[in-house]
Amino acid sequence: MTSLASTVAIALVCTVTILVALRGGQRSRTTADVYVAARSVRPWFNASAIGGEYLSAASFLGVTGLIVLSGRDGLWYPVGYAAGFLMLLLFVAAPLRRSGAYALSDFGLVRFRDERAAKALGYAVLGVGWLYMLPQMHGAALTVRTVTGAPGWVGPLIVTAVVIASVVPGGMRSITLVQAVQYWLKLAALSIPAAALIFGFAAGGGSSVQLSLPAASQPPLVTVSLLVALVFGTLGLPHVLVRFYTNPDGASARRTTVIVICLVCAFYLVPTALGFLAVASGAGGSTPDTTVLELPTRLLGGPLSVALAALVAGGAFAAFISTSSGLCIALAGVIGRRFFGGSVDGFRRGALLAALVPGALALVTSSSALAGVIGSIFALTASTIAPVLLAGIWWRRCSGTGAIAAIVVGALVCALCLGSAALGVGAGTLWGGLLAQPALVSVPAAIAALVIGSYLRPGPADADAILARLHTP
Amino acid sequence: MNPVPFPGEPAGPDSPAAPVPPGPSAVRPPSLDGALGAPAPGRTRVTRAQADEGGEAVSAENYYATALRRAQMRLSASVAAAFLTVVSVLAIAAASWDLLESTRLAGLPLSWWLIGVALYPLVLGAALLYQAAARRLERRYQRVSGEGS
Repeated sequence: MTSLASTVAIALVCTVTILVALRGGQRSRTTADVYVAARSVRPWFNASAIGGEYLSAASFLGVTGLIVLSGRDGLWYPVGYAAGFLMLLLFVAAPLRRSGAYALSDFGLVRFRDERAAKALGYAVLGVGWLYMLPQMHGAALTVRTVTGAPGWVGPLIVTAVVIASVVPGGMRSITLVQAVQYWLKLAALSIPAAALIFGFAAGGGSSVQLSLPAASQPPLVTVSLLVALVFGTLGLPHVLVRFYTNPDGASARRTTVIVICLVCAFYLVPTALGFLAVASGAGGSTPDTTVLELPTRLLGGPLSVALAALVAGGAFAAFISTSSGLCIALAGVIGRRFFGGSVDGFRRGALLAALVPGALALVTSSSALAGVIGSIFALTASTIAPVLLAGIWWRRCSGTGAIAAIVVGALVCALCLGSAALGVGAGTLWGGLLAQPALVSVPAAIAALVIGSYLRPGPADADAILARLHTP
Repeated sequence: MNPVPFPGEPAGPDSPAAPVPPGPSAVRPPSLDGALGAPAPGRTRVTRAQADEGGEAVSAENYYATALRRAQMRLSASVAAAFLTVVSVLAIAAASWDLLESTRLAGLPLSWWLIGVALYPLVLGAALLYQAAARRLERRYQRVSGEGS
């Protein structure tokens, strides 16, 4: 019964997504249409779309799972995800839009006048984007397996197919509409069940006197490192940045970000509430990440619980699809601009490539805690794309050589730390914690490389004029 | 957050302190023309920005653009620093101050409510404050540089 209803909900979400995409993409003809929706997206609409693609599997399933798993330590994740948009507003939103770029690699070209720096940024976007799409695919596999019992390859296959069908024909124009719709779909799919469950729980007498809270064992320094990763990682996420090119001008880019902060903060209260509820009621899922999916049937009975579970499953699928398609757009933009000549046709080929690679990778890898994996990818973004973007926008001496050095050193240090943590180096100590959560080490390393590289080889002579263009209204 | 002082701001929009610079414009690549309107003819002034940044020729317009960038930088950095300080203090307090753990609201520790709920209004408040201040700086720039009016 539950599995049938959930299957119907997932099918419904996929169908609606493709229909909305086809409708939105009808007028998509030119290069500006497919890459940046002709830079004509209004703030409220754009903000809904950014919220829609940002709230991924890690937000929809992972946050509640982490609260159940590690209590207070898990609560920091949504705070970091939301605060990341504050940093984006403070340092990036308006200047990036004014740079006039179509993709992040274009920004490298505009700012550094350096072909190699643009290429390095392009590779960084590809790496981060594909790594970020993997957990979405795993989340889809997990959801399909939990609610229907189908084998693990079904979920990634569905997500890949829907992403290709909705991104390739209409590009940015079609996906903007899809993602805006999906933000509100996700909010509804999570907040309606949450309200029903909390009401039912409170009416049933509330919590018992002695709760067994999940232990929080993370040292504060590791928490700060995690926050640095999440906050500066958000600021470098290619699929978020790509949406900022669609604003009409710098001031509206800023307004968009403020609305995004409202939407994202409002959303994160819901999985947090579900996490509180799961802890207070003692009803966890079979694994932490499936808590949200199983909570309705565990706390309530009857047809209502079936309907709520189906709603949650459909919302979760909306999360995988919208984040994956946002990433697909960002990657297609970079691939299309850098490797396929920057045309409409190049965008479509790029989109196909961008969606198929992670879909195939998902079949040969296995999933672990969703929000945790995402945390590592945020650390990687924070130590590669974020320093280059920040220095490029604010520091006039910054050069292409410095940018390349930052990307290479940041990625290497980050990978080295995560790798040694995976091998169990320093497990249980403060150093081990920092190796698993390496932003506090890798971000300063990347910044140091950037400064040294920029002093060794100065940037373009007209840096003042370029910066003036980024910062004047 | 106090408004960051903007160097060279005249007392009013029509103040005689606003430069009306004659003469050839500073070096500007053709691809950037139009981003700032027509290149304003600028008398080359010896400015703080010029003294700081290697003594190349800086037009009046460029001077104000640099001043705007620095003012925005100070604004953004101070909002970010204030926010990160609050969050770091909360992270340390939650881990080491027992009162936050032993005080319970609806069965859950106070620290959970502080981190999980109370931080979001803070994020939003900082964002709104910054947006207003940044807009004010840009208006002031437009006034002194005579652009966009």
